[in-house]
Amino acid sequence: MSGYFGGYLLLAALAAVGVGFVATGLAANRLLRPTAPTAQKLLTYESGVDPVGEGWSQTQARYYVYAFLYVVFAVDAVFLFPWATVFAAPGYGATSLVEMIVFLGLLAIGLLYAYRRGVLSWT
Amino acid sequence: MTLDEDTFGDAPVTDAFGTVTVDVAPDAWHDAAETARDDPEVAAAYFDWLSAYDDTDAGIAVVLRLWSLTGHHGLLLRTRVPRDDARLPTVTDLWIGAGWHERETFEMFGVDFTGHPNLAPLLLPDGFEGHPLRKEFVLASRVAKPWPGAKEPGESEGDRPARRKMLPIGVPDPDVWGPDAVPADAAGATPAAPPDEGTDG
Amino acid sequence: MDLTPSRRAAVDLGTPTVGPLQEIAPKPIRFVLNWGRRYSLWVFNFGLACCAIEFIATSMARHDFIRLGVIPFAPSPRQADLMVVSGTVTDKMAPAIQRLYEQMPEPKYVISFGSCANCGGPYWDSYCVTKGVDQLIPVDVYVPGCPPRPEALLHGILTLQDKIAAESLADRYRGRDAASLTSPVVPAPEAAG
Repeated sequence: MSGYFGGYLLLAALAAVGVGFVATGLAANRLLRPTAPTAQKLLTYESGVDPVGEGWSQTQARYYVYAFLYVVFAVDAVFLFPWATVFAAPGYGATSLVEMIVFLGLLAIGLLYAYRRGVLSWT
Repeated sequence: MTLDEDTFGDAPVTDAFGTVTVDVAPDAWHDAAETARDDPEVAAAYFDWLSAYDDTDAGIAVVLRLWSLTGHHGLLLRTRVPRDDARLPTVTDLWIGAGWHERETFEMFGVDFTGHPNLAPLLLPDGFEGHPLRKEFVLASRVAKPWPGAKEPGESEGDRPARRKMLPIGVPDPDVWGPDAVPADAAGATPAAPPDEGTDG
Repeated sequence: MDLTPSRRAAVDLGTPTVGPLQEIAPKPIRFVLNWGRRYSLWVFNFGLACCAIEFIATSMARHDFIRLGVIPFAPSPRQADLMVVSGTVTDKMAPAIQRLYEQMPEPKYVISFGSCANCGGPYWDSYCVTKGVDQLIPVDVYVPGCPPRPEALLHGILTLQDKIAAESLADRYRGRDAASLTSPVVPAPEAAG
């Protein structure tokens, strides 16, 4: 079926192929592999010695800078690309430009914060 | 380096292969080490290593090597402790780096270092019994396996004419040590030890 | 992590098995599966002593076992198929070797590289050397030498690949129950007299 639903059908087919690819691989593995579980095999790996402490560790808050910069740059790009494709179309005009400038202004404030903190220069 | 006559008291000083060796009594061990470090003529403040060797009847000889960074000369301090009462004061208060050296000497030779903060075994596996580098420690593999050098390459078991089985170095007679050892008789006398085979056993 | 046995409930881990397709695979399919397995070995190199240097030399440009499909330096035993024990196995290291072998996923292979790993080597009479890694784990290929030349390791890998080509994974893992894999505790010898 072409037209409106054609695109969605193609996407669904592609998704099904992707899922099927992964599922086939995993299923083939399950049907072919040997299994020999032992108690030692299920222990946490710690270079051959008895594991000490818990496997979970807390992420340190100082790494927020990386998440922050990622949001500023990557989310920025994700929204800019579709906007750029429709920006010159008849229905859109100065309004969409102003909207995008507001959006970029908010991101610029975040970038200014990062710059003032000194994370944008090489140490 | 010329040692003053009484830097180390009346300890004999020898020159072995270019290294000055001072033999001190166990009581004077700590003082001698301190003198070697603090004396301006000797000034051997760099701790190189501390180890020991088993001198059979003379006891266990503990050796401490020092180096002088200013004078560019080395010094060997040596003492001998009796085998059944191997004790020495620790030198970790002079050089903290001696800690592990003394731990190793303790576990390999059984020399107790009084005043050591943590005299636990260092290298041997948990539960190891005995002091391996002492001469009386029998290497069980040599008892169990035939000595590889006893046969020529390509020779098989029955080729040699029957002769007295050669015991490898350090392996006592099977009557003395091992699963077939004959226990001491009622009078308490143990069977005679075998004569030395070759070099020092 | 508390490893005391009373704290962990007894879990029935089941006997070793092979997947059903592997059991019924006809010879051509088994040939293809063995072909894939033997040319994609990822090595967990257990470098302990001088033989580790020879192993590293074999992985470098002049001899290069990567062209045989053997990728060196698996980051952990969990991602490895092949364990090359190169060097002297001391009694202190023995429990770690045994545990790391257990932590490798199936199917796994072991190459014992060098005379120390084969039988204790020149340290056969030492007070703390395990006389051969086959006292701890099952070995597929022994490479003799002290140290073996890199060409010897290449030959050992080729021998292992021939062995994998000829093997049936179903036969290898079938029938491995607890009774067949364990032996009773050996009692100490009676005291004489």
